Amino acid sequence: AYEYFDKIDELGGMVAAIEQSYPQREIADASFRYQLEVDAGERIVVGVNGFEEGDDGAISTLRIDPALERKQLDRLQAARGRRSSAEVEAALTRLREAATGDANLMEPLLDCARARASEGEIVESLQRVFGSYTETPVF
Amino acid sequence: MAADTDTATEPRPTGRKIRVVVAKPGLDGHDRGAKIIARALRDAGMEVIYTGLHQTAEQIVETALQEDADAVGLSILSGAHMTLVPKIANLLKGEGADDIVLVVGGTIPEEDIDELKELGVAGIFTPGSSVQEIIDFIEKSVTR
Repeated sequence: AYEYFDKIDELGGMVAAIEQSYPQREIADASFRYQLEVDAGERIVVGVNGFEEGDDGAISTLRIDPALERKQLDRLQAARGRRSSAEVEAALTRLREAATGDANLMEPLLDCARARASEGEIVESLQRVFGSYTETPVF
Repeated sequence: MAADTDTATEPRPTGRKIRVVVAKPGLDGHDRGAKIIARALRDAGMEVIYTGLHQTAEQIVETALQEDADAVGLSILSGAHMTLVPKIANLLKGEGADDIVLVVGGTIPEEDIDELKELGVAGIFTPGSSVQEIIDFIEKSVTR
């Protein structure tokens, strides 16, 4: 572990390490090695490639009714219909202003919620200020 | 694991590497398996395009077309496979791209396998599948 701490320090700290994809590469490499070991039978996962008990029988799985999506969208539309767009706009604007500076975002976020801004609208406002992280996949 | 001979791709008649798009559709953030498969396919000599997380059906199909993919692998551990896979399969069909081999991996319940196959999924790889199985399947399924 200390080797990792030293390495990460060398890279300039954890944020710098992530920007250089260092932990991501370590994770990808470790998980790949692990999988090869499992596939080769060098690493036993109990119940999967060792000590299997035969057929597990039917597992009852939860099925989500597709109608729930429609219901939620309807609820969102209804909520949008009941709120004041002016208040929402004002709250989101204050949120963006706060995010541009150093202010604590908690109060502005609560105000957005009280004005019934949706999560998507709040996130989109923050994205406008902070941008959006795009992974450079390492595998 | 046995030496490279197991994973090496046999040279194809056209000499062209098999091109595979490995995709994470929807909100599912579990990318460990997808990355392992992507790497295994690459080590086996295939050209792999990994889309990263949070792809829409449209983005995945566009990537597959732009990259001239021979196969598309969808990794789904969110339970949303019966919503996502039909969308993707239908979009591919609509683009005349249903000769692209479509495979699905992840936490897919057994009772959904038949329906997924009817939608055009060529192979389904549930937990416990080995990387070699998947490599072999794609190699024998891609005829382009």
